[in-house]
Amino acid sequence: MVRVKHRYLLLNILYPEPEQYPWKASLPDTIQFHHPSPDDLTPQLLARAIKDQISILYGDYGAGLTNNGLNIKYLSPATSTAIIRCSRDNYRLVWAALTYMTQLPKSSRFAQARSCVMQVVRVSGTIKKSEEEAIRRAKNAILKAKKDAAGSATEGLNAILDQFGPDVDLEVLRQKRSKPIATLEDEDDDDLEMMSGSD
Amino acid sequence: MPASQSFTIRDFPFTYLHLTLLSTSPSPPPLDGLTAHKHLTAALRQFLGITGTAIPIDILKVDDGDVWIRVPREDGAAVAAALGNWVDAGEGVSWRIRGRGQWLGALVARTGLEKVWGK
Repeated sequence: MVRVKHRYLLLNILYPEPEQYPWKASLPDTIQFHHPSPDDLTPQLLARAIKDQISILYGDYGAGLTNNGLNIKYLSPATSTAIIRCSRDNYRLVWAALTYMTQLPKSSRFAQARSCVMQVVRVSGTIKKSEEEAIRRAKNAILKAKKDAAGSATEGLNAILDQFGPDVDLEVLRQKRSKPIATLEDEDDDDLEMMSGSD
Repeated sequence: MPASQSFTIRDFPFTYLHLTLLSTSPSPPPLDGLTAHKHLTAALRQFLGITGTAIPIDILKVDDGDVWIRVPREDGAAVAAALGNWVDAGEGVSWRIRGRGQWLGALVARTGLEKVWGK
């Protein structure tokens, strides 16, 4: 019995242009990049967009080669993750077409173009492994985002508290932080004067 | 007598093609290099997309409807398939491949053969 072998590509859709969503600028980069996709991104729309891109990149030959085995097995607009099934012999064609996609498919001709980056993070022979990898990545992303969000707010303060010990007056510390660099500049000026004196 | 040495030349760098532009109109305009290039890239773009147009084609000679081109050896089969399949319905032109080979000398000689046996 001849089996047709497949490959399952795990895809992340990244949004590396924060200007599109200016009100979210205060969030750390890891959350901004993994922005949820708009709801009008359906599996049919994404499949059509990939097939069109293959046709542009590889012409009739590539379209005929990859058309038969290409489906979207899983798409979650909320996490911007997708699992794409394609034939084992030409998964690289599909991967290349994904790399060259620079914007999301438009749901209608008058919709605005939304730029994005398609990142293939795993290729596996079974869909189970792709699912496990998706879950693992989602967990890691949440932990990292939590760490980033917590760290940026209190990072400087924690460093100073460690330096002086637990009993510390926060007001005094804030005043100290407000004039930080003057002492460094004075030291540099002294060095320059010493050097010119030695000449 | 010195011992004889033999060399085998493998992997020629280029594949040469001898093409003719067929046209449905009774008196087609004479073919020049730019028009030939336009038709060649149109055929490659349809069959192979952007990667097809990236195949480097050297037009060696354009002579009254006959075009001689060379392409890298590994792209020879793809170019032949693309040109053979292409028809421009708007202008009513298509390519006919008269010969394909890795040695230009043999390809040129074949045209004489056609004059003897063909039209």
